[in-house]
Amino acid sequence: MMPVRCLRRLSVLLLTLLLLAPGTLPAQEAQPSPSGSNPTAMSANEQQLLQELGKLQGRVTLPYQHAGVLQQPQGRSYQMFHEAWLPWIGAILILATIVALAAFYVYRGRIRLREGELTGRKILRFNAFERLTHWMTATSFIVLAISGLNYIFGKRLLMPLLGADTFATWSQWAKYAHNFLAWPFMLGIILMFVLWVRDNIPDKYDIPWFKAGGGLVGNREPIAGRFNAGQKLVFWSVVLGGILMSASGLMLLFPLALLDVNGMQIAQYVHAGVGIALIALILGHIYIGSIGMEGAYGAMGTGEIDLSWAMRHHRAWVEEQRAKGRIAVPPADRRSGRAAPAE
Amino acid sequence: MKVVIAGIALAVAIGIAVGLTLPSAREPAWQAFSTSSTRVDDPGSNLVGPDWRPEK
Repeated sequence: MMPVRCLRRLSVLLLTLLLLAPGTLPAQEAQPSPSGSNPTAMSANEQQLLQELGKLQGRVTLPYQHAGVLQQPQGRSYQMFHEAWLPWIGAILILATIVALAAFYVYRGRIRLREGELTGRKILRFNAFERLTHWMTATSFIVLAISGLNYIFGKRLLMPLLGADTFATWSQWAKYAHNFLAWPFMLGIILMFVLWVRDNIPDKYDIPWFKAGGGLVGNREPIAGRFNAGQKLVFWSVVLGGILMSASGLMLLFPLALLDVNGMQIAQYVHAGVGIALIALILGHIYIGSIGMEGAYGAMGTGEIDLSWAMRHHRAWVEEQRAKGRIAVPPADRRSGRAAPAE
Repeated sequence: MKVVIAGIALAVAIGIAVGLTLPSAREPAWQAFSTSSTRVDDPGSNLVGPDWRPEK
């Protein structure tokens, strides 16, 4: 019986020690330090850091220092934009532009010269280098637009049709095309700015041109210089939009080189938003430069236009060229037509 | 029309030239975002492997 009694006492003793050990007793209130301060209560918590810094960030030893960002609430706004707002805004803007152009074509038809108005005398409107620059930029832009739209709509519209594997292959090549043709596009923006900025500075003809609705409203023929106010609007939109696209695109081509994660998301906002707006604008430009207006394509196609077309749409420019002795315009050819919208 | 074709050809030519030179100015993600001590091998371009679809 003796060993049993000893074992029972020993177990009671061990149990008592276990209960008295620190950590097994009910938590006691933290005692203030001798100085009276409580470091734990005074330290910044996550919520305070988030409010102050806009993100929670620690330190990492990886070369990718941005991996230290633990929480960045702006990412949720970006996700909402990328997955919800952007596809809707993009689709509405582009489809609305196509519908508006189709409706205009049905209402107005092709803007034609009057019968017998063509003189057969051609004058040079754009030289070979200007046209080369235009078509290089246009080619790049079309590929950039298609591959860019694939980023937004591809997985929603194309993937169900093509299948995942084919869509992945197409998207990879589209990405290469987007990354590489961005460079001739940027070069084209610089060249177009240098070539045409002088003729796109606002002048006295612009406000009357807008008041006359570009010749599409009423019977007044608006006078214009080398570029009318609508064309100037296209020029400055392309130049300024192109600069924004180039700057934001470079930030995306070299991720995190200059910007942090939030900066990259802002670059995406700019790139996608301006890109969609430019696509809608260029759809209008393509329309009026092709099926929308008779004779407009010739200016960028062959570089030459009929003298009567030039007199009708860009009378001030023709007069200026005549005054400089670059073209000879007989008085009989100085007649005007009606419409002179932006090309 | 010649200038139109020349413009298209120029855009493509610049694009190809950039395509040949740009990769040397950039690092793949696996290289840029990790230290060499954490890499077992060159993972190639497809980081998730050929069998990437979740349903498989």
